[in-house]
Amino acid sequence: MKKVEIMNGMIKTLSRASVLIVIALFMGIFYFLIKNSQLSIHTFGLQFIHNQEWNPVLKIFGALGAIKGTLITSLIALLIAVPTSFGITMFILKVAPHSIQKALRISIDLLAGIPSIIYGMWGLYVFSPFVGQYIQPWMMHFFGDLPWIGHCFAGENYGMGLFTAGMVLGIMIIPFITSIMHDIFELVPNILVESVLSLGATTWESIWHVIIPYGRIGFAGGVMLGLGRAIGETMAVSFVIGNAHTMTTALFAPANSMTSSIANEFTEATYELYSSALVELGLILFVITAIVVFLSNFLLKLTKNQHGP
Amino acid sequence: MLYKILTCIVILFSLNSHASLLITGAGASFPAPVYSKWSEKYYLQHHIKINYQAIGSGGGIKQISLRTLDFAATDKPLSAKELESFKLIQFPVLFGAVVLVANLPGLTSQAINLNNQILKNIFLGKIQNWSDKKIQALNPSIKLPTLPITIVHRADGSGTTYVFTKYLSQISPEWANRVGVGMSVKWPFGFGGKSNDGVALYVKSIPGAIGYLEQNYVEKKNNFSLVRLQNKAGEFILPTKSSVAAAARQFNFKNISAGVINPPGRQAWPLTATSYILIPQAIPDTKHEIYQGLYQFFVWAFKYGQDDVSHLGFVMVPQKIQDEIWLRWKTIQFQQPKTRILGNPR
Amino acid sequence: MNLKFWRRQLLNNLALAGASIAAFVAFLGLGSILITLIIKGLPGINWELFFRRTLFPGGGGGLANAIIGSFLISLFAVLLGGMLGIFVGVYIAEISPFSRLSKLVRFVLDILLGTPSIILGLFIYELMVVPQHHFSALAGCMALVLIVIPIVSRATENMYKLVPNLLRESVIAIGAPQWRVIFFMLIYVIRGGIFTGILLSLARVLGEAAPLLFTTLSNQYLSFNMNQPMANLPVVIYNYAMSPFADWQQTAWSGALLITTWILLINICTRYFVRVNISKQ
Repeated sequence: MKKVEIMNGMIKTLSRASVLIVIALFMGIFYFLIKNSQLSIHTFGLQFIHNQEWNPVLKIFGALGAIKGTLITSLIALLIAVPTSFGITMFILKVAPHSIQKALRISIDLLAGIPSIIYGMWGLYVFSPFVGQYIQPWMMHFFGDLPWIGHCFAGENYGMGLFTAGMVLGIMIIPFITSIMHDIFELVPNILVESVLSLGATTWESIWHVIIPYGRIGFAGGVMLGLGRAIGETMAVSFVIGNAHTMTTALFAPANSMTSSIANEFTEATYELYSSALVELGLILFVITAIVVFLSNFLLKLTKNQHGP
Repeated sequence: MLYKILTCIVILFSLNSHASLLITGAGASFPAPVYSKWSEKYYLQHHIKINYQAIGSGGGIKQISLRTLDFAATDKPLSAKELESFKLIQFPVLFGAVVLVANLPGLTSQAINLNNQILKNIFLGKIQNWSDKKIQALNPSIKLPTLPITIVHRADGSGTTYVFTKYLSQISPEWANRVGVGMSVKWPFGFGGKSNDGVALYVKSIPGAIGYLEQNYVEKKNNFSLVRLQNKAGEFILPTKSSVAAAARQFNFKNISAGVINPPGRQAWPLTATSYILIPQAIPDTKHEIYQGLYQFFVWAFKYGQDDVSHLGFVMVPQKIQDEIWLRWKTIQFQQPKTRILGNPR
Repeated sequence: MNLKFWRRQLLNNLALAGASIAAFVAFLGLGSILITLIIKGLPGINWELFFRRTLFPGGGGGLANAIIGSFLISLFAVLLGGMLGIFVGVYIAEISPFSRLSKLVRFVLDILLGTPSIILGLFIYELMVVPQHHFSALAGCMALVLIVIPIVSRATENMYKLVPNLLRESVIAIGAPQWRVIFFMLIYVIRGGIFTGILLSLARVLGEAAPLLFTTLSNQYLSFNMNQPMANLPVVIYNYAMSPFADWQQTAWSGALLITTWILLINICTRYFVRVNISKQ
């Protein structure tokens, strides 16, 4: 009897202690972020989010440029990754011969493991010259004269900037989103799909009319997870984004993201206001990530509750 | 199984009781090749490890002020006020060139002349094309292409940027007012490459680009056109070891914040960067061994390291400055009174 | 009638063709990354890379200290984080799955999982490096532990949830106390899944550079001292890739190839493991 209680108690205590440690660490991160950004918050207040001027020499810091950079690159990444991932999933599950389905799935999962620094190096040495030479001029030629969005395609042919960063980011999160979509595709009860097919629907129609509506919440959750991943990415982005604190919507001009600002400038921040401003960027990043994670979990949970045992 | 792991961990931690002395420093990437070569040779002879990591001048300054490092290297000197508030001692070790390069198709590997007026106007955006008459006038024997000038600067903070912006501020009051000096500034034009590597890559891929690099990043295979600058003596000079040495001779501890940027003196290269070392003024007992060791290392380096410095393209600090450096070392205060840095460099 | 049919067929074929193109382009892009790695990294793979430590440019040298350092730091982080992660997973899966504490920690774990690793590195920098006045491998470890814990906790929780209630109840029915139930499931039924989670977290931390940048710094020399800066692959690669020296850049690409190969191997191992486990049952 005694031994049981001791062992039970030990396991419970250790587990509970671990949980408390984890929560304490999390609170610690939050506390550290808030504490070290105090100076910046007091100095700039809400202006920090509205101001686009980030000038370390004049000691004026405004995060708008970095925030927009993060959002635009993530948006581009999603625009590229979501349809492509959907296409890949469709390909693996519906088009590819059954024998190689597993191999394809495994290779996608393997590709998800490539560390982001590799994407950064590849982006810098291989991809951005490619974009600068072939893709950018074409896009500028094609879209440059359109009335509203035309000015988005201004900028020079250097292959660096929001566009390239967004593309590298998109390629990076493709395996991730594909994996999630794959799981959701498989979550749809086969009976529904087969019954539609037996009524004469084409494969595409079974996807469009059954799988997508059935799994739409899950897809949304997966997209949000991908968004969270894209927002927090450091290495892949900082190599190719051009690293300029400007407030421009030109896609091909160099820009900055929150993570690349922190990575590039934290060790250089020799005075307190500078590092405080960078920590405040980190705080904003943390909060945005938390919101995105929360939303995506919420959506994914809805899917599971809706349809699963 | 768990016990085995724990035992291994305990052994690992205790393995280090007789490990050799490790002295950790970090900072500018400019002098990194020299420091790493010196430390390697020194380790083979004396079994003391000098671990130097290139994290940038700003990183070095910040970490030494927090005392997370034993020493730091910086390309941007600290002012007397900063030295006092961080309680640091500063001395120069190496000199090297910051080089301006341009990508001019058809003119590969030819040097072009730019004087102060033109240079500052380029970077202030007032001269926007290589075919501008003023540039052509300085280079009568070369046909300059009609290409827009694209400025490439550093995106990350850098001592190299500090040297270049200091120079621009000295030759142009407008630059000093509008942009200023710093390891990281708000450039009115152009865009930033990440690290010297990024700048070199950009300049290489953009025809008409101009950028500034640490001397080591100018590779022949990139076919950059070097820029000759006009020094204070009025001569058009290329960055070479001798022009850097000519600038180095002008170094003066009293004028440390100016370094040897745009120095007087014949044959001197205007964009000469000085690489400094920062060490604390006061040393706690626990670090006694470390700083004696560091001192011996620099004594050794100044005595035997000349060849390596030259080999890697740098210039060592002149003899008369070295004497002043040893004087500064002697001012270090240890926790135990009456303890001083041991040894005599001669 | 016919027209509509053909139109639907056309749409179907277009969609499937589009999917195939998407898959093709994506594999092309991702494949290009691997091919670049192999082409640039392979020339540098030699004896020296594994057995000599990092030296000055032009001095030859390899990555021995970085490889050993990376493994030391990563293994330690995975051990420590794995233990903590398993305990946390046990708590939220078995001990009190529906309590407010469990809900809170699940939320925290999800955010930790999604937090950019650079922020975790900054946190440990402030927590350990600054007060201790030196960089250390241990600090880097702790930053990686923060990455490992959510991965292993989630794997543990999922594995426990997969155990059919029937099995759980049958063990309880024969009189096993709670801790025995947990242990039994841990050791016999789900160890494969948790081990997979641990391996996956190892694969993840082997490639992380940002958290080690401000915590472990790096070391030119070989060191086993966890209380000092230690060489590690991601930071060395990061530094070398940005340098102007051709031999350092070559080393960087080779190191990148090494890391990627190991991570892929670990991932393949986990699949093999899962298959073995499933076949056992």
